[in-house]
Amino acid sequence: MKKRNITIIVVLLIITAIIAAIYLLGRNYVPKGKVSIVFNEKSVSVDPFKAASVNVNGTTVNGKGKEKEISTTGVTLLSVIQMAGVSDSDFSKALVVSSDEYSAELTSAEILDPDIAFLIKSANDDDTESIKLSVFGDSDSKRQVKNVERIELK
Amino acid sequence: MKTHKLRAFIFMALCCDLGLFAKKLIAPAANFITEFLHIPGGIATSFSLMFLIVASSIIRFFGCATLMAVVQSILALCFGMTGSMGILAPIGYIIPGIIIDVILFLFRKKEKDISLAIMIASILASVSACLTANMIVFRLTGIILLLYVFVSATSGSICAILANELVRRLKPIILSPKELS
Repeated sequence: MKKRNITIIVVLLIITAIIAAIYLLGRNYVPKGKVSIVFNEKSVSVDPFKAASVNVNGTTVNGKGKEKEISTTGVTLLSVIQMAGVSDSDFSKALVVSSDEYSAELTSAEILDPDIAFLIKSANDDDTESIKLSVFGDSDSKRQVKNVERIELK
Repeated sequence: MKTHKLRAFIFMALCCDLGLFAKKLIAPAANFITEFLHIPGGIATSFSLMFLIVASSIIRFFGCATLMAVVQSILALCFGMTGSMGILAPIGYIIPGIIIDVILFLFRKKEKDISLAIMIASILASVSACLTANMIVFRLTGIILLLYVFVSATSGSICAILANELVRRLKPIILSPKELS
C-alpha cells in the first residue's frame, strides 16, 4: 500500500472528523417524538400527536409504481403547524425535513387540503416509533419522509 | 471474437451488476454511519463506484467507465432502482463514469503505477456523485453539504485502497499475457 494513499485517507478522515464535530455540536436536536416548527427564524417544539387525531386512508405509489394502501390514524400537517401558533395565511410553502436532512416541499394549498398531507406514526426496524410524513396523490414516494424532525415554514 | 476480449466484456458486465447491487448490500452498514452523522448518504455510492474503477483500471480503453455507467443507468431504470432521483438517475451514474475515464486517461499517460490515479478517480467520482444527488434531490447547503462531500470523499478514498488490491489480483486473470506485458 502506497504511503501517499494512506496520507490522503488520513488527511480526509481528519478533515471529515473536524467538520462532523462542528456540525453535530452545533446542531439543534429535537426531543424524541416531537417536531420543531421553524417560522420567522423562531423554532417551537411540539408533540404532533397532541393535535386532533384523524383517520388517514389512501394509497401511495413508490418509484417502481407499486401501490401501498395506508389505513391508520394520524394528524393533518395543518393541525401540527397551527399548534405552533402559525396561521395558514402566514406561509406559502413548508419544507418537511427528516433527521438525515432529506426534505419534501409542500405548498400551502396542499397543506390546507384535508386529504393530502398527514403525519403518522411509523415503526422503525429497531421497534421504536418515528414520525412520518404521508402525502397522497403523488406519482412517486419522494415526499414520503421518514423520521420527520423539522417543519420549516416560508 | 477473441477469447480475451470476450473475457474483458464479461468482466465489465459483472462489474456493472456488482456495482449496481453492491449498494444494497452495504446500505445497512452505510446507513448506520450516515444516520449518526445526520446526512442523507454518501458511503454506499463510493463502494458501488469502486467496481467501475476496478473494471476501467484493468480494461484499458477510454470510455470504459462511461459505457458501464450508461449500462448501469439503463438497468437501474429497468429495475426501478432509481431511488429519490427518479428519471434523472442516469445523470448520477454517468457523470462519475466520465470523471473516472478522464482521470484514468490523464494519469495513464504520465505514470505506469496507477494506484494514485485510482485514488483520485475514486475520490472525485464519489464527490461528483454526491454533488449530483445534492443538486437533483437533497439541496443541502452550508456545513451539512460540506460534511456530505467530505464523507463521500473519505469513503471514496477507502474504497480506492480496496480497488487497488482488486486490480492487482484480478489483472493477471482478466488480461492476456500479451496485454500484461
